[in-house]
This record gives sequence, C-alpha cells and structure tokens, in this order.
Amino acid sequence: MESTLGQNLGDTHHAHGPASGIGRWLFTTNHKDIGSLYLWFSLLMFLTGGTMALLIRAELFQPGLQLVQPEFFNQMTTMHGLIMVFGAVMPAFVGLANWMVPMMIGAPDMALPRMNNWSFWILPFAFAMMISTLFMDGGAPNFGWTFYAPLSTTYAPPSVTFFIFAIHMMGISSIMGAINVIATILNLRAPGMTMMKLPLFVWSWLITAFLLIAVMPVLAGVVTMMLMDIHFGTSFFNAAGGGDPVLFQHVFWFFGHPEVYIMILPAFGIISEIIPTFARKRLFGYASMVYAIGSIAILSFLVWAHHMFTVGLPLAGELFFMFATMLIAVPTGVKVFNWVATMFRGSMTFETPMLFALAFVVLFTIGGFSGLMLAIAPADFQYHDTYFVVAHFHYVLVPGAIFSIMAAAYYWLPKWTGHMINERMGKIHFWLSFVGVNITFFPMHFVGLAGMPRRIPDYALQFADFNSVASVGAFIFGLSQLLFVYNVIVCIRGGARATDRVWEGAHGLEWTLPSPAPYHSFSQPPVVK
Amino acid sequence: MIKRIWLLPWIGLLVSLPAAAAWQVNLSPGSTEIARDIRELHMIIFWICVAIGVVVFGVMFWSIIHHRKSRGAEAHHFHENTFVEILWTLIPFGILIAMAVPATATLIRMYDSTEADLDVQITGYQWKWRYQYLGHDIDYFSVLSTPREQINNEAEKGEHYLLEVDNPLVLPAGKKVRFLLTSNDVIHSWWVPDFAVKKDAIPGFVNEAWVIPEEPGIYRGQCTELCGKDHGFMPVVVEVKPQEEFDQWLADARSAAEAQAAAAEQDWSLEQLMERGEQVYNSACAACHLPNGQGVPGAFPALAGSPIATGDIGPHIDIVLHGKAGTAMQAFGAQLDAVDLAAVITYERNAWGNDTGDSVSPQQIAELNQ
Amino acid sequence: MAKEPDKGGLLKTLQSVLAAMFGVQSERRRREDFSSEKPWRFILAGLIVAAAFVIFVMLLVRWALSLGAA
Repeated sequence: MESTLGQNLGDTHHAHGPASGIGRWLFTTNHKDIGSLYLWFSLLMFLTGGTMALLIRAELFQPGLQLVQPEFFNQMTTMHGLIMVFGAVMPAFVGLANWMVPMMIGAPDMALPRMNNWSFWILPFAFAMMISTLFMDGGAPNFGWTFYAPLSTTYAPPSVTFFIFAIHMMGISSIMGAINVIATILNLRAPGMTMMKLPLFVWSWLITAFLLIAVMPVLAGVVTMMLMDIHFGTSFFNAAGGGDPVLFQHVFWFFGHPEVYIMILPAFGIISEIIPTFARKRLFGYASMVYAIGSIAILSFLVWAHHMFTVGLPLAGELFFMFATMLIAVPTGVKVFNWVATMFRGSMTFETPMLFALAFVVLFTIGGFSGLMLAIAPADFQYHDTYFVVAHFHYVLVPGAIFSIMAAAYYWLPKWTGHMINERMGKIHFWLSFVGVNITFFPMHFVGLAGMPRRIPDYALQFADFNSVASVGAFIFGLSQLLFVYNVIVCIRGGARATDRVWEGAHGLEWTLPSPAPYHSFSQPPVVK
Repeated sequence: MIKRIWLLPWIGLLVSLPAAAAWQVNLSPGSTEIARDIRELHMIIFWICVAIGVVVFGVMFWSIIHHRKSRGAEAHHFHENTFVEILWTLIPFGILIAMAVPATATLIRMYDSTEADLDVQITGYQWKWRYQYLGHDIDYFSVLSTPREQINNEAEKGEHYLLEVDNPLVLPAGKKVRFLLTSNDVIHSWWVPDFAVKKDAIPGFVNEAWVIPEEPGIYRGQCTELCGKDHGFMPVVVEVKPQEEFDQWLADARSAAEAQAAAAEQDWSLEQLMERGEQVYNSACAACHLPNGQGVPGAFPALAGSPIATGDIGPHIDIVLHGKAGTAMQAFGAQLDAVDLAAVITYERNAWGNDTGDSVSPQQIAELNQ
Repeated sequence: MAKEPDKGGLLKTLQSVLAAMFGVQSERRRREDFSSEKPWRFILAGLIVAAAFVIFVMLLVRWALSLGAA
C-alpha cells in the first residue's frame, strides 16, 4: 500500500518535471525544451557558418590565391549563405517563438507538441546531410545560396541532389513550425488575451508564419524542378529543351523576397518588445506597427523581380518592380519612426539588450537606405551583384536579424535561467560586435561602388585596402561571438538571482511567471484584464 | 556615456580613409552620358538618405542623451498621434515620387537601343568572352592574360592584375554600339562600370544593351554573375579607338583571320604542334584539367593517363570538337580553329607521359569539324 | 457574444485596409476593427486592395511609358 502510494507520488512528480538523460531531449514535447534545442542548434550553425565566413575573409585579406582554390571558395560562399539563412537565423526565431509565444499569450505549451518535436529533429539530419556534401566527390554545392540554373542543374556537382533533399527537409520543418505557431496563437490565448492585446513579437510571428506557409512550398517546387531537370530529363530551366533559365530566378525570388521578410519581421517584433521596456514607455503607434507588418507581408509578394533588374526584363517590368519596391519602403520607414518616437521623452537605461536594440535601429536603417538606393532600377545596373549588395544585405541580416536575436537572448535569458546576465561582459560583447560589424561591412559599400563583383576569390589591386580592413573587422566580429557563448553558459550556470519581472520596465504575461520559468507554465490560464 | 567615445577614432578613421586617393569609395564618374546620369541619380538618392538619416538618428541620439533615467528623465506617457504618423508617412512618399521621375526617364533612355552604328554579339563562355562583329567577319575570344604566377603569388602583381585580357573588345569612339548578349553555358553578366552597361548573358536567349563611348581609352570591368570556378577570372576589357584607328584595326583583324586560315593549309610537324598545343592547352583547357593534366577529382577528369587521351584517337577528337553533354566539357569545335584544335589534341596525346606518338593534322580536323 | 452592428460596412473596411497598406492606423479604429467578428471581411478587402495596388502600379507604368515615348 505504502509502496504503491510512493510510486504514484513519484510518477506524478515525474510527469511535472523533465525526464532525465538524453531521452529528455530526444522525446520532449515541452515547448521550453524544444525552444532550447532550436536555439542551441542555431548557435552551432551560426558558429559553423561564421567559421566559413572567416575562411572567406581570410582568403580575401590579400589579392592573389593564398589559402583556398576557387572551387572550394565557391563552396564556402554557398554553404555560408545556406547555413546562415536556413540554419542560424530561421531556427533561432523558431526557437524564440517556441519559448516565448506560449508564455506571452498565457498558454501551457504549443498547440501541437509532438509535431513540434518532429519539426526540430528533422533539422540536424537535414544539415548533417548538407554539410556532408563537403566531403563528397566533386565537392559541396558551389553555385551560391541563390543556386541559379543552369549552374545548379546542368553544371552542378553530383552533390546537388543531396542539397535538394536537404532543402526539402528544411522546408517541411519550417512549414510544420509555422503551422504550430499559428495554431497556438489562434487557439491557446488566455481568456481576455484578445488579438488586439497580443504582444508585438507574437503578432510579427503570426504574420511570419503565414508567409512561411505561403513560400516554403514555392522553394520546394523550384528545387523539385531542378531535380527533374537533373535526373528525369525535363527542361524547365534549359533553353535547349524549350525551358528558360530566367524562369528559375522568377520562381526562386518569388520565394526569396518574402523569405527576406521572414528573417526580419520577428526581429521587428523583438525590437518592439525591448525598446518600450528600457524606455519605460509604451510602444508608440502599436496599431500602426501591426498594420504595417501586415501590409509589408502582402506587398512582399509583389516586388520579387527587383532582384533581377539586369536579366533583361521588358521596360514595363522594370518600371513596375521599381515603383512597387519604392512604395514598400514607406511602411518599413514608419516602423523606424515609431521606435524613435517610443524613445523620445522616455526614461531610458542601457542594459545589454537595449544596446543591441539601439544598434539594430541605427544599422538596420542604414541597410534600409542602401536598399532604397538598390530599388532605383537604373542605378541598380551599377550596384547589382557587386559588394554594394553584399554590404546591403549583411547590414539588414547581421546587425538586423542577428543583433535582434542576441538582444532577445540577453533580454529573456534571466527568465529562462533564473540568473541575471553579467552586464559587464554583455556590454563588452556588444561593443566588440558593434565595432566589428561596422569595420567588416561598411567598407564593402566602397569596394562595391568602386566595381568589385561579389563571389570572387581574388580581386584587382585597387580593392585591396578595403578588403584587408573588412577581413580584420570580420575576425574581430567573429571571435567576439565566443564571448556570447561564454556569457550564455555563465548565465545558465549561475549569477545574481533574477526577479520575476527581471527588468524594471517590463510588461507582459511572461514576466508574471517565476524566474526561471517552471517546466510547465500556465497550467491554469491567467486572466488578462 | 563614456563608452561611446570608443566610436570617435573609428568614425575618424572612416572619414579620413576616403581622403587617400587610392581608396576609391564611390561609383565611377562615368564616361558616357547614361553613366553620368546614373551617377547623378546615385548621388541624389544618397544625399536624400543622408538627410533622412541625420533627422532620424538626430532625434534618436538626442533622446538617448537627454531622456535617460540616469539624468532623472521621467517617461511621458504618449503613445499615439495619428496626425504625426500620417505626416511622416506622406513626407517619404513625396520624396520617393520625386525620385521616381528622373529614374524613370533615365531607364527609358537606357532601353532605347535602336539606330545602332555597329552590332557586336557578346557570348559568355566558362570563363571567357567571345566577341563577334556582325557583318564584319570578325570573331574572337577574349581571355584573361594575367599570368598564373601572379595569381599564385609567385610573381609581383602587375598594375592591371586580373583586369587584363589577350584580345580586348575594340570599339569606335562616338558611335552607337549595340551589344547582343548571350551565353554558351551558364549565365554570365557583362559589366563595364564606366559605361554603366551591365547585362546578363543567358544561354538560349539574347539580351540587348548599348553604349556610345565618348573618349578613346581602355575601360575595364568583370563578369558579375557567378558562373562557376573561374568567375573571378574573366574580365572585360574594352579599347575605344578614334574612328580611323578603328577602321585600320578592322582591316588588320580581317587579314589576320585570313592568315590564320592559310596556316591550316600548311603541314605541321609534331614538334610545332606540341609547341602550339601547349599554349592553346594553357589558355583553353588548363583552367579545369590543370596545367599538369591531373584535373580536379570528382569535378574535372584527369587527362594524364586517361583512356580518352591514350586510347583510340577518334573519341578524343570527338569530345574536344563536340564537348560532352551534361558536363562542363564544352564543344571546342566552334571556339578554336583547325590548327589550334590539331595542336591541342596532339599535345594532350603526348604530354605528361601519355606519349602515344599520335599527331593530328589541321586538315584532318577541318574535315571532321564541318 | 453580442452581435456588433456593422458600423459603416464596406467603406470602413476598405478604409482600415488602406490605412494598413499605408502603415498608419489609430488606436480607436484598431479597437473597432478587432472587435469585429468577421475577419474574412478584412482578408477579402486586403486581397482586393492588393490587386488594386498591382493594377494601379501597372497603369502608372503605362502612363510613364506613354510620356517617355512622346
């Protein structure tokens, strides 16, 4: 009798905490565990893709071929892009959504926990397969992360088939993750948490999830067409068989442009959480922010060919995509104004998450400016496929998406671990990253305008000086990310105890939970007034 | 905040760098009307961005400095003002419309390629350009001429490192030249910054672009669409000559082509073929199969000791003339003349220990390459 | 629960969607929009406005081209 009772108690207790050992991670259906898995995975991919970037920058430190041969260089640029986009940025946002969305809307977990487990565990296999192509005969994919046909079909190394399969797996994972986010937000909100009260991070993720569901099948479609061309004798992208290589670019960028917003909308959400907290003031124009995200999402489907101004579009096509692209800049600008207006007459403090958020606003805006310049079709003939473009999209992705992820990590780590971060180390990490990022990417504007094409392993002598500067910056930035890893580990292992609210100005349901957040939170739904 | 002082030397560095002449930081001033217009558009939009940036970042830094808690700032609880929001949406809107007008006008002019004085067909190959003067019987390839030693850091790099070719495209000054761009294999992109001409060369399709070069001189550019291994090693060099010199060049080029045809009628010894074959091999084949014939495992097969280069000669000639479908092996029958084809095949069959002793004559090739 | 009377109907929906495209909306109107129980109205209006946007830009292009040709 007593032993039965004890066993029952044990079982009950067991059901409330994590399982022990590796099984906890393999079979978990807990949104916090899966969120952590996603975040660790993306950190690992970030460091992997970063190492490749450092190899690229090391080769470009001086003119001439020093470290790697051109064929390997092309594999590095391709893998760097693919890993950073699909392995680092996207899983990091999904990880943050897993951790935060249920806690922000007062739900006990994600709506579809088993699918959640599956959508994560696909990823390590997809990326293991993609990275394994580096060791195959003929090498890894070497056609750039945009994999334009026919370089990626008729002229591709044999490993392209593995690449296609890996992309399919990532697509399945992303779509399932997106379905889960939508199901959670629409169904599991606490009583009183109406749509109009949703935190902006949740709003931005809801819209991102719809974008993902809309465009990941397009990506799957385009790689399937490649597969058919390579192995089954079709000619979608082969002019000799009646196809069209430009068709590839249309389909790819119909996926690719919304994909750009998939990588930046959740960042907008994060920044819109952090700035009000540290300005101790409500977000300016919440309604406009929500509407602007929605309109950006819809318009993002109408501007894809601005990536293709030099392929020989008819004049009317050029003008259409130029006008549409210039118009989409307006709602994006509105968001920046709103953030600035939130800071205006606030009561600001500058903890590490806030520093990253402020750097985001400034540097993302610089990336937006160069984006505006690129939208001017006649000028784009000079910018297209030069380092100016490389500078542009690294400004929106590194101090944009990546900084927002780091801001989010520093912002919510005390809630996740129960320990405050080491502010001093956090600030050192911020300043090294901030300086490093600018030294790396700002000179790329200059070499691009001066005429240096992208994706070249060696360059003419007049580009040498700025390339050396950029390489030095890249190593500063890259190595300082080890500090981030250190900060995270230190914060997990110990540190000052975090209060429930953590930050003085923080608002929202996640801050009503204890720090660290219990393994199962909101088993009883909170009531939102 | 004291820490922001870190920024000062860094900003100072960025501002002072452009002062040094070698550090080109901006678009080429352009040497054609269109290029100058584009540069002007570029500068206008740049200064608009700077102005918006100064206002936005100005407000932001003013808030950061004055509205900080450590200065005792109290948060003012306003969070909406529809009028202000509409205002700051309309202003950028107006700026953009003002920007779209000159951009549209320039674009319309860029697309007007009618009434050209000279048509040049430009074909991209992995990794070289082919220039055909339509109606003038002139047709040649333009290949990177920077020596391998410079690329491999075994020799001092020249002034025009990676931006020099054996045969530049030659154009007459002051005439409207229309380019018809296409490709033989993957997508390339032909770019000369000083002309502001950048257009993709797409296999199976023909794109148009045009230029009226103003000043005689040499203009350099590069391929700007990733086209495989040697994408960074296929520069564009254009030599613009005054009309009389251009006419002279046309005449010379035509007689050189005739001399080349006559050479195919001569008898060539094995030694002569080997000597010429090595040159041809190094410019046409070594990029993939490597100068030592070892190739790149998994990507480009070795020729040294290969069944093709040491076996029956028929298949060897066939693969060089017609290429191999579905691989990077191009059909060289259309790219090289009979002498060069005979020389390179002879070279491949006798170099690197292949030692078959076979030699092929230009006449044999001419017969097979119909 | 209580059925909100549709205040303004089509015109108001279009106004809200246009405000969204523009990127600016007032708090009061947002409250009204989100208390509506018919999200489909907004989604449909959004798609219509997006289509109208495409047609508008196409007309703009035609107009610009006719000016350029003249």
